[in-house]
Amino acid sequence: MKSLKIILRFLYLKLKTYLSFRLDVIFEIFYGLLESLFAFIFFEVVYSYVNDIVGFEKGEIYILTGTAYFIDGIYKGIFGTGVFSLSHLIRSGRLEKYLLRPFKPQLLILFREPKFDFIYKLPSYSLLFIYGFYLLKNLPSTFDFFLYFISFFLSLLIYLLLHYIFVLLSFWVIEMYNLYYLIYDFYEFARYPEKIYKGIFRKIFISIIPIIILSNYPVKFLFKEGNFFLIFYQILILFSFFIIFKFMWNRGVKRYEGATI
Amino acid sequence: MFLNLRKYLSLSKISLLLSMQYKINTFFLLSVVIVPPVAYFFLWNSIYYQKEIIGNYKLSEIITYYIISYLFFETRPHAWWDIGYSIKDGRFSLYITKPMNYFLYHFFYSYSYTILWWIFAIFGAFFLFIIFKNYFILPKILPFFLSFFFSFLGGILGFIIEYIFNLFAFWIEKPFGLLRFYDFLVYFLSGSIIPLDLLPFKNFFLFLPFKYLGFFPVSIFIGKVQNINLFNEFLNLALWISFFFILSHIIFYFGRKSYSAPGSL
Repeated sequence: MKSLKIILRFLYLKLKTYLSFRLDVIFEIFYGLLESLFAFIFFEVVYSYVNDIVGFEKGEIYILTGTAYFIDGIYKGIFGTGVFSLSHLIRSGRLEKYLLRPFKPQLLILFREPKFDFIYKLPSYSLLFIYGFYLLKNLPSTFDFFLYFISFFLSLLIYLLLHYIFVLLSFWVIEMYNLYYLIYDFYEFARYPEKIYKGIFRKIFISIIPIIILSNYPVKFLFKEGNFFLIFYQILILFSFFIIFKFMWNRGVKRYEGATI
Repeated sequence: MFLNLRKYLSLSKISLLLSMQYKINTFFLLSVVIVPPVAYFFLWNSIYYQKEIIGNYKLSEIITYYIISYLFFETRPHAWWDIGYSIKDGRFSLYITKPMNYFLYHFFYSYSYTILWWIFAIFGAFFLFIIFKNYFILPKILPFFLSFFFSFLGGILGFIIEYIFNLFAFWIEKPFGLLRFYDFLVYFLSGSIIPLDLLPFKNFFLFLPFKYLGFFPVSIFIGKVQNINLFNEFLNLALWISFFFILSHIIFYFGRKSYSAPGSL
């Protein structure tokens, strides 16, 4: 409880700092609007030529895109920079600053550098989402939404652990920090319907680097295609990633040599 | 000052050496040239399943478009955000006290830094060519070189505009939201998200200078530009470069006057 209070206080102070640069906030809001606007224009052009993409109607694609943006925005906003900074802490030999504090270092790093620009972007992502439902004209039930949020939350955690695991490689390959941006590039695969991917790419991006499922599984619950197996599969992946994460963290910390005095 | 290029060439050499310091690390930076076009391949492949031609593009043309567009756009030289940072934290004072032109300093530094990107990125595009060879259009020799030439000039134009946006740090307390906004806007206006001639109001988008950062050189590559238009386009591009070059110097002149060296020693 005390830890949570500290984290919330910390987040509040960060948010206050961000909001003090008003013009910057305005441009971040516009940036978020551009993201949604360009996705909108892209699919409007595409759907002016075809009626659906592998069975995905226009409304459904906007819900998928909105979900993909939400997950990405929330992850990068709250955790992304912190997770990425681990590679810098290891490189510069300053990780012990976190290892020695009376607080879980993994969590401390996670919340180290929250960026609040995602808050300004959320309304514009919501517009895509709402427009998607407007086009579909039939709202899912409350229970479907409930399952959607569970799946959404699991996706967020999977994304977090996937990136964290990648960045943990810093303990072994110190000067290859650009490798950790790879996950962000792979996220491009999450923006489109699962069914478009074929062959080995599909297998890899559903199981080993399960980027495709991050956005596609939650929205299945809104399109009446969801079942408990999907949630079970997400939990299974999350659990596997957690084991890998714990293993790598313990090994990595043992290997780590500090550089500060 | 402009004729004394030796110091800038030395700077370029240093920049190139710095870029080669961690080659594997730089290599991973270019995953952005490989990964998104693969996703676009699957997406457009599904779209073309229903229709043979979209706009005036066949499937092979659109796949080649994205591969080359990412190659050109993502490897363009950047006016680093460090320009904006240095103005904000006072390090800018170090530059203006040196016997160097501030613009040329960053220009040469940036262009040399991207040489290694280009080498890796061309390998990346070649890798995609092998994977998608049935969907890739190989251009004739002249369009091939012309597309790279226009991409090079487009890179100069992009650099100057980005440099101008960095200079706004003279007046804005924190310019990074503006820079991110600009970055993403250019991503769209250069035609990296969707070919500009598929957009509504395409004449407006084709009038803007940003088409030279991606769309136009790629159109030459896939053979969609007639030779007769090339000279006009070259003149047009030269005019845009001249215009922004002059504008950048005017903004720099006034910006420097308002600079108060905050945070510097």
